[in-house]
Parts: sequence; C-alpha cells; structure tokens
Amino acid sequence: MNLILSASDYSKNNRNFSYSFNNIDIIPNSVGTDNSPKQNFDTRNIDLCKIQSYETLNRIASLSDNWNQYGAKRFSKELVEYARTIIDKLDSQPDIFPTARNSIQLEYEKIGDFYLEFEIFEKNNIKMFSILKKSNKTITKKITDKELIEVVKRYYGH
Amino acid sequence: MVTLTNFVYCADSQISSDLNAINALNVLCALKSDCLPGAITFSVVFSLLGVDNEKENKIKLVFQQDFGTKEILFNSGEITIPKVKKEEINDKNLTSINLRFEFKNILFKESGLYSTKIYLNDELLGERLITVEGGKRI
Repeated sequence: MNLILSASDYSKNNRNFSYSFNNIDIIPNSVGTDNSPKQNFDTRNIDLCKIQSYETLNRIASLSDNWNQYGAKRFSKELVEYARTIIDKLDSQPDIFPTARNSIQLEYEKIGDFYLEFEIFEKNNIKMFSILKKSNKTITKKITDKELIEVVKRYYGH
Repeated sequence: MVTLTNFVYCADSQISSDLNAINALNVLCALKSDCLPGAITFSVVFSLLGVDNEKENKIKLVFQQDFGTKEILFNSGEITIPKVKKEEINDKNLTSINLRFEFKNILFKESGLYSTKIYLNDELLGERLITVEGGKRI
C-alpha cells in the first residue's frame, strides 16, 4: 500500500493537507461472511434548518385573525402552502416572519455583506428587496418563485 | 444506543440529492472574524447512528463558550425529526441519519474555545469544540 501525502495549502494558522491512498489492500471476504444477515442499509439526510422553517410556517398557518392585536388577518392555506413549496426548494434557509400586510417574509442577512428580503403575497406575488452592503446598492422588484431560488443560490454561491 | 459521529465544522453545507449525502464545504478547524466583537456564520454536519426512525426524535443544538461563564450564544430549541412510516422503510435497516445545521450570524465577543452540544431526546450525545479567532478588537 502506498501513501501519497500532498500539502494542498499552508496558511499562517491552518494547515490543510490532502491524503490519498493508492493500491489499497483488497478487503478480505471474511469481513462480511456469507453467514452474516443480509441488511439493506440506507441513510436519511436531514436539514435541521428546513425542519425549523416548516415549524415556523405551521405556526404562521395557525395564527388567527387579529394575531398582532392591530387587526391583521389570518393567513390563507394557499399562501402558506405556496411559501412551503418555495422553502422546500431552498438550499439555505431564511428567517421567516408573518407581516401585517398579509404576506410571509423571508429574510437572509450576512452581517457586513448583504441583506436579502422576499415578501410572498397572495396569488403567487413575490417582492424582493436587497442591499449589497459594500456598495450600498439596493434593488426592489417583483420576481417569480424560480427567480427567488436563483437569487438565493447566487448570494450563497451554490 | 445512539452514537454521534462524523462531526464537522464547515463554512457551508448542502444536501446532495444526487449522491444521497450531505456535502460539507470548506472544513474549518477555527472560526475567524476580521474583528471582535463580530458575527460569524458557519455550518455543522454530523451523523447519528442507531436511531429509531420509526418514532419522532427531538434534537437540540446548543452553542456556548467553553470558558469563563460558559455563556450560551445559541440554542436551537427542540427540533422534531419526523418519524418514517414502516411501509416506507420496507426491508431497509434505517438507523442512521446525516444532519446539517447552519448557525447564522452568531455574535462573538471574544476569542477562545467554544463548543456545540448535541442533545437527542433530552440526552446529551456529545460535545465538539472549536476555537474562535478574531482580528483587531473594536
């Protein structure tokens, strides 16, 4: 068995090495003998932030009329379900808030970098507001759900 | 018995549906901020082995100082991992879970050693340490 060691990067505080093994010895069959019970292993992959987002949407769905004590209306099933379909497609999860404008707001913020806000209204209307903090450039526009997902991907570099 | 394994601090992480896996991007051995106090966003990826997936499990992540007052900087609260129906499991021995969690804009006042504690159904499964390094103090 040969061991190949390469230093892929060396910086002041961190040393990042990459190791690769070549000609790995073949694992003998005896490790998994024919007598061992046949098992079909599988793994669940779970995004805990996405579960939290679903829980937040459930709480928003359960709000009743006048939930903010200033006469705000409760949220329609269609709006919450639409928000859920968007959340489902997002790799990075936002902070989620109900608004008194009868919309659901998705917020992303990287302190010192950018602020990104989407307001989801009835009838699949989405309004985007963003600030790039370095240039102080702001954008406000109506977008589609597909564009929302693309914008989030772009901001997070996925 | 549930075992915590594969714990990694990283800059970001993603679920890859193609590979049926979680990708940890930019593995970190220290969290760095240009200045302190400062906010850092980072991600953790880990696996749980020996989980009973046919029942709901409640997981909680607590991120705190490992020095001084051991101040808690973030507590996820209990997050319910939904159970899997028996018919969906079929003949699979589904006892392992890969998980990702993103800590967003955690505000650090000072450099030092910090830790993530992971609880499953109120039981502490383990804790993993990481150093926080900051630039000039403001």
